[in-house]
Amino acid sequence: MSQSKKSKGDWLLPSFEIAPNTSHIKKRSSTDDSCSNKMNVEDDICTDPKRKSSNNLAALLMTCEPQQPSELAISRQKQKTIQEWLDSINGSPKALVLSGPSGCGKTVALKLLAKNSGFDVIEWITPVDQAMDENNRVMRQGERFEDFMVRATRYNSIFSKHSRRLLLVKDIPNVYLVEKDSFSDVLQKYFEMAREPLVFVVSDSGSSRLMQTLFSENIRKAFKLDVISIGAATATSMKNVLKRVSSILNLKGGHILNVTQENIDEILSNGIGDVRSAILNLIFISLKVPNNESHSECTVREESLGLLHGVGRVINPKRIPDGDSWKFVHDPDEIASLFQSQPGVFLGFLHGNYLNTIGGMDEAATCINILSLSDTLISEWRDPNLGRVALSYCIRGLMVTNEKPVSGWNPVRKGQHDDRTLQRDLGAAELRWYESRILSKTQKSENSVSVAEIEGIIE
Amino acid sequence: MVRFFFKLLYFFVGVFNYLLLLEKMSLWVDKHRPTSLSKLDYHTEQAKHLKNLVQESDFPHLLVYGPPGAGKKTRIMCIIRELYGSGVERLRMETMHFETPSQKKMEIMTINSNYHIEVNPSDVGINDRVVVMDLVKTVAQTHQIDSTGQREFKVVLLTNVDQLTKDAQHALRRTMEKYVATCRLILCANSTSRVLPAIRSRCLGIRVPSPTIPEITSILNSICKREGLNLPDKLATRVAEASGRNLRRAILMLEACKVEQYPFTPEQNITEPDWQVYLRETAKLMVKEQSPSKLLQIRGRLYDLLIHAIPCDLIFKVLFQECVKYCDLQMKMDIAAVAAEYEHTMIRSSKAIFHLEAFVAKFMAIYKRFMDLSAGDFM
Amino acid sequence: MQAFLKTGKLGAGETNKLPGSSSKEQRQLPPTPWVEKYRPKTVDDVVEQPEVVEVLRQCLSGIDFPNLLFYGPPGTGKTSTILAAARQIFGDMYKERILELNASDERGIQVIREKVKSFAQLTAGNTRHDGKPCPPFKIIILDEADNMTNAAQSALRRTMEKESHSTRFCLICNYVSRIIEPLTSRCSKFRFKPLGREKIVERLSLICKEENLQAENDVLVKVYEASSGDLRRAINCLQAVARLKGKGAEVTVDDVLEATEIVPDKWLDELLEVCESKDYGQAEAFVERFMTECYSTTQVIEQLNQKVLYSSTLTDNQKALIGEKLGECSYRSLDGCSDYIQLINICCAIMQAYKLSS
Repeated sequence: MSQSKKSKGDWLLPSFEIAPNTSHIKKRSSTDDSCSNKMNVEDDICTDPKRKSSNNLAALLMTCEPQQPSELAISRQKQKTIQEWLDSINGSPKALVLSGPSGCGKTVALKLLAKNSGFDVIEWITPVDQAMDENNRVMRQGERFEDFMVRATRYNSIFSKHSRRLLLVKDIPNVYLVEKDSFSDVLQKYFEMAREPLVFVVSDSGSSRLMQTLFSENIRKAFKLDVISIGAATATSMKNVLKRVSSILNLKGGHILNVTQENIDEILSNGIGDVRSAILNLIFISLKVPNNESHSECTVREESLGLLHGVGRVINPKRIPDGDSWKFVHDPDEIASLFQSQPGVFLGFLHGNYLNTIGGMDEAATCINILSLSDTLISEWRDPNLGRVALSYCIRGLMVTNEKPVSGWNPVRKGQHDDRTLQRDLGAAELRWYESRILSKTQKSENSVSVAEIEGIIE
Repeated sequence: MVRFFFKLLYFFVGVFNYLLLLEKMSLWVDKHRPTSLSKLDYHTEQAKHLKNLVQESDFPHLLVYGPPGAGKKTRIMCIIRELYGSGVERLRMETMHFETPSQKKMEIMTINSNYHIEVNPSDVGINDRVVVMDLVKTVAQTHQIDSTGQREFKVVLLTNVDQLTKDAQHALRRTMEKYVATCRLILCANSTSRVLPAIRSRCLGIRVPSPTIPEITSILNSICKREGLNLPDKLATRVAEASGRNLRRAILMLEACKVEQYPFTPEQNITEPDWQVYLRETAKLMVKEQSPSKLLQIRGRLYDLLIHAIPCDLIFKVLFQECVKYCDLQMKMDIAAVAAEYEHTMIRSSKAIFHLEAFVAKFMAIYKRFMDLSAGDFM
Repeated sequence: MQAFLKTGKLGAGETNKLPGSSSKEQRQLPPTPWVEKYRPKTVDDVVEQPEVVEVLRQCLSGIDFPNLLFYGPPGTGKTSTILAAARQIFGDMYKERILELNASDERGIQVIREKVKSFAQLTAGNTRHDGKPCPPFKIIILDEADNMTNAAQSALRRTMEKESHSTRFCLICNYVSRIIEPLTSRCSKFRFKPLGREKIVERLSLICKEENLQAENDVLVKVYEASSGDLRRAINCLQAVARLKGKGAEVTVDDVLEATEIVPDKWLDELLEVCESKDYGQAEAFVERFMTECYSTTQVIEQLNQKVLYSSTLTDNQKALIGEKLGECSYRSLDGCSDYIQLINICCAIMQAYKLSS
């Protein structure tokens, strides 16, 4: 597992902060020094100091990187779209916005496909230090970014074996979040002066609104930015990736890891759509705990119950006879105690999934009644204890109500998001609807009429 | 020379036509909105009273309430115009910025003229208290620039007051008294039951009931006359009835009809909002089969509606009305009680879907039991 | 206040002479609500609260008076009484000697500690500016005291005792039960009764005369009914009507109904009738129609409650059934539920009640 094998240095990097940075990718032409002095931290998770060099977890992670397009987590179709975009590059500046939930494999896919098409990927990393320009003036981040956009591709890297280059921007400098106009100025400049294609990778998680602010409709239109959005990794693709990764891990890192099917299942039940975190978690979970320690203190490892397992236990309550009566295999209160920190989320999941195992209509009505009441209790912010009460009530209620769970394979799904504030303005809704209807029709007819009229007059 | 002259003429005709086009772009609802109290079409007695009120030296805070589409906003704008003259028609849109004590920044759209400012404080959700207080304060502290012949106060128009939080309403009560010298509030609400009694007692309440069906038809007729259209009486009545005595909806419907098909025919199809149809179908689904999988399907439909920003209390109401049609008296009563309960929990909590679904499930359960029972009897 | 008003009137006469400055001043005057204008000027003017008046009258003659706690329904003259008394006792110094705080002011524990304390610590002389003797204390009026937090009330307890040599407190509240025990025991309590019909009508007709308003006696009676013994509400209502109708107009019963948001009886009768028919379709149509009139649901429920309670045809069982539903729906509609569904629900409950009898 030599350094040269790591083809693209920073896959999975952000989480580990281990940067074998000497790969053939040229980070930034002008201030290369800022990047190269990053710490080459060895992992300290590994407990055995003797094996340090070969146990490097970062290196282990590198090996998990997909080598073939078929190993990517994103769908074939999307791969094809990206490939088409890459193929259409013809020397003129061209920009693409690649968006999708975090960890779905955007960057990896792009890098792999770019490499296969013979591109060098030059990535922008927002520098943390302050660089001086020739006049000993501190350069603003924005200036440096601009510099990168326009000039990065002018010089060939000596390591490069490809002739074509591709700019990749994942980390847009913060200044542009505030000054949207200057961002479009930079784009303007890029299109005027640069020659190489440019790719923005934007993760559109719920909180960040880059897609709306920086890459708004207007900007996209003005600069003819292409947009490819990638959905979260599907369960099957996740499974495939993990399967592939697990064999690699067991092969290469067998001395510290023990990846089992159980671990994989657990990961699969927890992570949804996020390949990166799934692999990270897999490695952590499979770390071998040295035997002598585990026996002394931590014989009972805290049972970590994945969200989805928890939901599964609630909606599929198993009962065992206990004397004359019965009891649950999994104690409702135990389940409740595991999710106390996020009752709202758990409730959302329960709501999303309870119908899968409900047999009759009456039970369903009772269940949703319980959920509705619990939701009301949780919304009562004045008493923080109510959240716990509601959670316990809800879990117990659902378990008791569902006497005969319907068996059958049902994937546990994430509850749909419904965070909108209550919309209560009927008038506005109505006006909107009719307006769109009326205007869409009038515009057409009016336009044609007026043009015809003018022409008539001119005749 | 002549040729040039003609060219110029063409040019002007073109510009004129373009202006005409712009004019036509505005909806009838806005275009034919009366702008003075004396031009109001119905509640003329009340309009006379309002005129009296404006002429008196002391103008109180107003609370204008009435069902949607009854003409509250029209009346308020008329009052403001009556107070300040035509200057109020020069409107600007501005965004105002506010900061909560916890340093959270908010912005809100305002529509203002030199004399008044209009805000819908419920846009900012639970932070409305800050907005209400800051807004009134800033308005009250900037005096009228030119007070000759004008009122010495400005008007703050708050819409959807009934959706303000209790907190904001309490704050409002204090602000109302404190800045009475330099500003007057006009509050606009759908119903007074959600407005604190303390606020109600500090305002002069103006009730604006919905126009009656004949009133609506006559307004529709006069609009058509002004537009140069020919409107059959039958269609006018049908539109008025379909609107549920909501004038705004009636005018919108009529305009939609015109777009769909002109000349009008008495029996022509009146476009309903698509969600109405969608909800009706949803109700049909609920009656057709009662099973958890059906419930799952209905949940999907409810999500659809919510995502398209249909107000959830509207969903609730229409769904209830549609469901009840399929029941006998006893069931209707049960359903009403259930609906009332879940609507309440919906208001209290943040996730509408839970409670809508709960209502649907309960209805389906009750309906199923009833069907099973009657089937058993039949056997 | 009285003097202030008088000068205002004089100024109005003199505006012609001094066009520039005085007209501007004139405009700055905030319009006086009638409630303020017709507050009782002396203790003897106070309507129908004999015990309080007696105590205060004694105090006026120079005897010390205790800390006071006035409680009773709104609009019975609690604030008016203490203000009138203070004015009589202190005359011109009235402004200096009184601190009035009501619920709308910030009234956390901090304010009690600082504002009240610093005011209480000011010493007061025992003569007035004009040389007449007056009691050597100040009065702190805490209006709407039942809205104070418990912590603030406890903070008050200590202040009250410590400053008793120079300060008298007057707590005013609607519900004495919401005042903590230690405070009530430090005050002498007076209950204010709701005003009777004659007194209110008398007062209203006086105001009508002053304001040049024409109103029949039965109109004033309607105002009284609408206000349920609350004089302030009655006066406010009268002023609202006067504002809408313009000066010197005839006031009718309908105007009063409009101004007080009272639902006309015909609607309630129709509601009961419709429910008695036990036809859901009719009830639904009725509610739709009723909603377009936009009466307040809480008001309907309140009036309906009265009607059901005093109905002679309904049995106790039925009344209980309806009453329960009314309570539930009243709570919900105060929480902000849609009026339509709640009203339908009420109608259904009444139908169910009628079913019971048949």
